Order: sequence, then structure tokens, then C-alpha cells
Amino acid sequence: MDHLVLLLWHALLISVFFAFLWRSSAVGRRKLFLKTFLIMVVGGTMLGWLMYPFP
Amino acid sequence: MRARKTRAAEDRAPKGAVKEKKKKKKAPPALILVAWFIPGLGHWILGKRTRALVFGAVIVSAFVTGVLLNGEMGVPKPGNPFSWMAAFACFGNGVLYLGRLLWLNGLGGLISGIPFALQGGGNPAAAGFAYGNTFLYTAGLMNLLTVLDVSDIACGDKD
Repeated sequence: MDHLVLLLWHALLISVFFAFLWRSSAVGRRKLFLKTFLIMVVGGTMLGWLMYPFP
Repeated sequence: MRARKTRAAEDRAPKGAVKEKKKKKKAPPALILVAWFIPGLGHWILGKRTRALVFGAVIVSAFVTGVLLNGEMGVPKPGNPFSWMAAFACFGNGVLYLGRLLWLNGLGGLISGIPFALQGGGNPAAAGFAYGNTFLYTAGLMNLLTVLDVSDIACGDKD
């Protein structure tokens, strides 16, 4: 399976989980979901690019 | 100063009220066990139906993805202390963990194999092996977090 698809799938599951664990209102859940999802996807991609030159 | 003020407030309050405040409500052990064994069931019992369905779906999805990617269930291995941590994370999956071990080892192998002769399955040569392991560990740790959440809700510390 594609690495990016796995990254997106993992980030989606974790973000949904923590949004429902830590927030009780719909707005709060949506905000936390977006924040954690973006941090994981963008952060993971950036780390991948940074590690690219290393063997 | 603050402690003196608190003590003074306790002196003014009726004795029963102070005692009641000090006695912390405990979550029933059976509820904790059920919450661990079947992901989402603890929240369902406490009436948090939406959360129960979401947690159950997320944990089962992560676990199934891990198995499909040829991930290895964490089992203790002699001379490898980190394998105990992996086993703890996977043990958090409750019935999913036990069911997978039963599938891989059979009932006889499961009983006689504890702790060091259990087969965790997976294929280290597969492209998705490391990812599969990550999904399996994550699923177990998320379920352990839901157990803590159930405990907090049952104690009245959280809605």
C-alpha cells in the first residue's frame, strides 16, 4: 500500500479518536480533529523530506 | 496560610460533608475489564453511545489494518525487554489480541506457549511490516486510553 495513503489513514484514525476523547462539543471536536490531522500529515511529510538525504 | 484557611473551612463545614468529599468514588472493576476486553463497550454501558461507536470503529479499523499489513502481534521474547512493551501495547486490544493469538497459536499453543513460546504472526519481509506493527500498537494503546476514560466517567471526574 502507498506510504502516503497509510500516513493519511493513520492520521485520520488518531485524529478522530482524540477529537472524541478530549472534546465533547461538535465544534470543539471538529477543530481538534483538523488541528491534529494537519499537524500529523504536514509534520510527517516534512520529516520525510528532511530525512530524504540520509541513507 | 492556605492550608490554615482550608482547615478552617473544613471546621465550619458539617463533618459528614467533609467525609463525603474525601471519599472518592471508584469505577467498578468489572466495567474496567469489559471496557478493555471489547473496545467501546465501556462507553456504551455508561450511555456514551456515539463515543462508544467511534472508539470501537477506530480501534477495530486500526487493528485490522495492522493485521492486513502483515504486522506482528507483540509477544514477550526472552532477552528482549522491548518486546514486553510491544506485548503490553498489543495486549491493550483486548479480545482482538487474544483472538488473534488464538488464531495463530491454537488453544493448546496459546496455553502452553505463555510467556515465551507464543507466535505473533506477521511477516518481517513484507513491505508493510513496520507500518502494520505501528497500527497494532496504536490500536492497543488507544483502547487503554478509552479504559482510563471510562474510569474517569464512572468516577464522575468527566462527562
